[in-house]
Amino acid sequence: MVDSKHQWKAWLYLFPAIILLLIFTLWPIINTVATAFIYNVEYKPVTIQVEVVENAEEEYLFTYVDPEEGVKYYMSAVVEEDGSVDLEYVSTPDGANGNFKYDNDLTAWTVTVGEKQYFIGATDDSDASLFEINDENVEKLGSSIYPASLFSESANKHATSKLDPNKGYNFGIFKGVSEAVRYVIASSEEGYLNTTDFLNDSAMLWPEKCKVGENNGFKFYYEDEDYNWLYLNTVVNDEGEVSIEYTVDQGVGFYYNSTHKAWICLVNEAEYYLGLDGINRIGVYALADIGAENAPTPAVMYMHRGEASAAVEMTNLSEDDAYRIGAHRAADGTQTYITTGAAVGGGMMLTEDFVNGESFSKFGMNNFIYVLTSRGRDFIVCLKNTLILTIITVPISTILALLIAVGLHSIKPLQKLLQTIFFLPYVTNSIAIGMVFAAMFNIVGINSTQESVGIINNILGVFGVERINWINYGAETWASFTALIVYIVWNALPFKILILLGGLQSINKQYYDAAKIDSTPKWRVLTRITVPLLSPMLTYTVITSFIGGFKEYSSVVGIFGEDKAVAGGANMNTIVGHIQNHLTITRDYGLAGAAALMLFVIIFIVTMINLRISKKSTHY
Amino acid sequence: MKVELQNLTKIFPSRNKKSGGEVTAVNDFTFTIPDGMLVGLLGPSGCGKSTTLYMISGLQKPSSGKIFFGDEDVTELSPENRGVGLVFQNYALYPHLTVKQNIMFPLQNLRGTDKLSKQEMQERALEAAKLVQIDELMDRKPSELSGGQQQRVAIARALVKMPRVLLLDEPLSNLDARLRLQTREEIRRIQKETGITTVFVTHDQEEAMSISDMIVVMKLGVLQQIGKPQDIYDDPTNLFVAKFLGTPPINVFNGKVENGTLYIGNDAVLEVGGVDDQPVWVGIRPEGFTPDDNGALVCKLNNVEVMGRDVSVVSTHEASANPIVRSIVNADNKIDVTAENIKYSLKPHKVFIFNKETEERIYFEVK
Amino acid sequence: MENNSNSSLKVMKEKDIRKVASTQKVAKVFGQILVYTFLGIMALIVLFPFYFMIISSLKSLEEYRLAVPTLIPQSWKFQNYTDILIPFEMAEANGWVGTLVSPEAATNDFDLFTLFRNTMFVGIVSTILSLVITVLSAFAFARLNFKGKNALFAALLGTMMIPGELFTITNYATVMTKGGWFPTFFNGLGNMFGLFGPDFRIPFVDSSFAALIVPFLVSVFYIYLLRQNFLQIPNELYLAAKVDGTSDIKYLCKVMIPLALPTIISITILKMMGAWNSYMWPRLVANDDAHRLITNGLRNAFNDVSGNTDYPRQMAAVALVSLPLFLVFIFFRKYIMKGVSRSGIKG
Repeated sequence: MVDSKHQWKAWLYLFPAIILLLIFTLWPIINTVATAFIYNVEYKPVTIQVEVVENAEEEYLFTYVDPEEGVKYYMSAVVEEDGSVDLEYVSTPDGANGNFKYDNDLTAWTVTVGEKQYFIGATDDSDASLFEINDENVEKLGSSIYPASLFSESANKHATSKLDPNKGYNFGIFKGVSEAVRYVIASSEEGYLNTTDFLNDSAMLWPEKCKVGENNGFKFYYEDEDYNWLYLNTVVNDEGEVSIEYTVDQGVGFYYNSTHKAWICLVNEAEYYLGLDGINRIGVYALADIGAENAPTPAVMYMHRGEASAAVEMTNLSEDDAYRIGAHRAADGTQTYITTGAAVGGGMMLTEDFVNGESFSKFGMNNFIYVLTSRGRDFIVCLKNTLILTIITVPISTILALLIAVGLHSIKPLQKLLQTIFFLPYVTNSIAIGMVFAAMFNIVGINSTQESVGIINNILGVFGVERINWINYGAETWASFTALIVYIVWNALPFKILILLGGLQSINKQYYDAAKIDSTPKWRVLTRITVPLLSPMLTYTVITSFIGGFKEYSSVVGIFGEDKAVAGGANMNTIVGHIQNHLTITRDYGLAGAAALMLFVIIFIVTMINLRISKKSTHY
Repeated sequence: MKVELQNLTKIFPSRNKKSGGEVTAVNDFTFTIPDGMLVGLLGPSGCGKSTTLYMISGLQKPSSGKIFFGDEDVTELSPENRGVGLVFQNYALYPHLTVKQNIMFPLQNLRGTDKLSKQEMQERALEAAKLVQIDELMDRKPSELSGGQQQRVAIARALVKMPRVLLLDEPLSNLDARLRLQTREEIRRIQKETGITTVFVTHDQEEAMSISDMIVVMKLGVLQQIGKPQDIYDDPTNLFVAKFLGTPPINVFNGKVENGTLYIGNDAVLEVGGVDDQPVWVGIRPEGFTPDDNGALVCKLNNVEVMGRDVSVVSTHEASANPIVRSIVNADNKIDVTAENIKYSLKPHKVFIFNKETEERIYFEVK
Repeated sequence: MENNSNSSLKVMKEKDIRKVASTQKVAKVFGQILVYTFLGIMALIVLFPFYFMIISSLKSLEEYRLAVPTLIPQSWKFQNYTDILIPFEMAEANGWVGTLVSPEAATNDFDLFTLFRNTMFVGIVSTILSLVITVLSAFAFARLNFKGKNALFAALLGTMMIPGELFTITNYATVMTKGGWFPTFFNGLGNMFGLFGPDFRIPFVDSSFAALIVPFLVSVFYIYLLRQNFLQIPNELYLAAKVDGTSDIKYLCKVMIPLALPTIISITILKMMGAWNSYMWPRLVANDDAHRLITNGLRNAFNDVSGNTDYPRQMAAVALVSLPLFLVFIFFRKYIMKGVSRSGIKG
């Protein structure tokens, strides 16, 4: 009877369940599958190589090689269908207009397309593109249209005197004009402030506003590995020489002098400036000496990202060097670079900040490829780990459980007690007991005075086995795996025993009677009768074990902790852990979804195989 | 191999502590099954026949008493060592093995000097299969066989190891009527061919009667009568046996003996000598009635059922212990269906009288 | 074919019979000994970690590190337990430092009280809400007739086949996206959407706890299980109650639930155990001090940066965390084992 009253009542009762399922089950399925097919493309600025055009003077081809595909792209002026001319990267130079020549009057890079000439420039609102050389554009050139200039890869910083305490800065120096520059970055090794290319990681300085004399100044500090704050400070030695160091004490204050274009501090009432000496070390030098020949070049501050320094105008290009192309946008003292870095895979880059990349979403199968090629993560290793764990633990635990279940089935007294004991591991907390196992397998007291070896090694020692490093620093892969396998089997036994014992109890006793009449020896009863008749249960156990094995993760965390790599040893992570890492570390849901889908497919295929096999050997 | 049971008793301890009391399933059985005989253990459910069978097989241990196979006391032997073959009521065929593998299974367990080569095993299995006429189906699995076929496989499996004794637990109860007739003949034939001492359990008296060399009638764990089918039929030792055997069943009346005359109700039906005056049960076989206009027994005629060669006359009598009285008479007796009564004279050897309390048979002289 | 006088089974003399019988007995006894030995060894192996855990938890760190371990602690360091159970501030205030509580407890990073409170909150709330939903849904499927019932139920069962990992990713995004509807709604709920002013907060109602509870309120398997149970209760009772004018809710409470109580108890226990043992999801969505659950807290505590883990303390914490599970197991073993054998899922 389909009552209409039932109808709405039913929907009322089911309402919460349906809503929750829609949000947390149906939507995730759709969303995960969809995002797995949406992958992120990162645009990273690429460095342009220069090729001299044959038979042409001062004409250059700008090329770059796509780091992923290995394809060479050429910057070119491309005529679109509607007649407009775009700046693009093409993979073949034929038919493209890619010869660029520097025009000194315009101070811009020009290219000829057909009858007209264009120059590369950018505006506040647009990226680098081609502008026709006509009166209107030339008029705007320098004010609202900025010409792109080329600067050597290693140059790119500029000084600024306005610092934001909320931002971090790298300290550097801009040395020289026409030659390649070096960037000097403050780091603290050995107390020296060494030089490195600023694109490497190094300490970033944070400014702290302070009062220095009449001018507002900044103290510079950074945080080292031990979470100590170290301040840039001046030090005077016995001979009265002044140098700088990073100290725990609050440092001296520096202020920017725009006349000298240098950062100045007061030491014993004398003014010193930060400069770079001939061998690229930062120090403080008497201000009186600034500008003199051989005097150290003043150091500049620049933001860690983004704000870049003045461009060097280059007209003579060397094929041995690499360049970035960008526009120099003059403004209120802050300068930003717009660069025509190339997107991986072609296309123009849209970003302002050429040090960053930018990412876009595209639709396709790339996520799966990224995951398989372990872009940034370790899918293959995790897959391997998962397979090893599953393939080893399932047979061991099943056989062991079978033997125990058969044993339990054949005894009367103490059966209930033993059943309870064997079920205990099930009610425990995977992580918690994992920590117990970790403690057992641990080699205790590496740092202690006494040479203890951990309880497992103690027990093995009774049998004359040498102490083995299971899970500590420097453990070998096989040892770590063994410890993990022991734990997983220990954990898996109770459930299997329960199922198999139930199955044993459901076998018709008559078969055993018939076997008795047939004078069947005990072992033959086990192998030819019990196991085959138990095969439905065994099949169920094996299939669920395989599925569970592929999803194994908590036992790994239990023993090895959140960071699943054994220090100095193997990476013990599993596929599920890999997915989790994509969520928390990589933060790429597309990759996570792709990995999860692949996991699902793997489980599905394995289960199908299992079912196929079991159909042949299972008897109902 | 003759099978001898001595004072065999089986007591089951009470399951339920509350209801208390044990169950004596088999009470002091003593009888001998001669070598080469087909013996039926017959009785209603709960009479202990299956329990007896299982004790012979060794799957149940007797509470007391002994079992001999020939001259050996096998009471303490486990089933594996007794050399019996058992056909279970539900066949208990190994479902995961084919017919051939099922039959070969017992052979694979033979050890020592009895060990057979693969070749010999196959031959023996084939022989057994041919014997039960199942050799066409050797490669099927039990689930692909009909009930009757499964049973034949079960028999083959039991026989293949040439057991000393063959036991069958209700072999025909799972089969449909037509198959039953066919199969019981099979069992008879096989037993005759192999000559193995065979014991089977049944609650169907017709079955037991038709194929057994000997019948053992049981009731509630107590032996009632042993003998050849015809003997038991013609000469029951008590009312139970008389009622149990015979189709259609015997007609039971309340009667009395007075002055050497047997009365059923008010009808003096027979002269019986050597019997004291007492109230008695009277059992008359259906074929013991002869329609006789001068007959002493007067019954109210209900119906005459035509059976072709015979007719079955259904009537009632006030002294009848059953709702109806049924007699089988030759069709040549033209019976007036419209008549109110039918009168019978009785064949003395078809009339049995039993003690009213003990229900034991009271023998009389026919005058 | 068969000639049983030539039976291949030898006729045994009485002496041989007795020998065979006694051989049987010996074999039987030997077999039993073998089985018991095997089971005994396996049982010891299974129990060993528990033994190790308890013994280690009562040792001092030095004794734990001995090259030759002691089977029984030489000195019973119960402080390992009290250090965790008693908050250090309380101990300080009462002057228990050095007696009940060791001085090292100051560095204890396992905040039992908060962790326990959080876990209990999440467990109880999610269990209650989940039970309500499960009961209502099971009732609807079992007793009510409505269009699309079978299709809907089949769809529900279908979702059971999909592994949880596929849901995790999107649910994570749903729950964690800053400014997304989920955090906004539940944080707002905690604030009663500003009804009582911007500083008003209902304790425990915020998006982190909601993230722990809400996504898992519906367990299709438990609905299935309960529905089966409901179906076994005769429909006539329902119809009779309807005729008497009983409302559904009353009927549910007075009849259905009491009759299906064992199943409901199983579900309750398994759900509570699930909350107690949960690790992966809380790690993703609620891994800060205010919201952390007990398993996460356990894993993250006691780990010394330099690698000197205080194992006895850690073992004591593990023991404390395992104790409730153990107690539940002792008292409710039947329910747990029944629920497990039907589902194959761990709480």
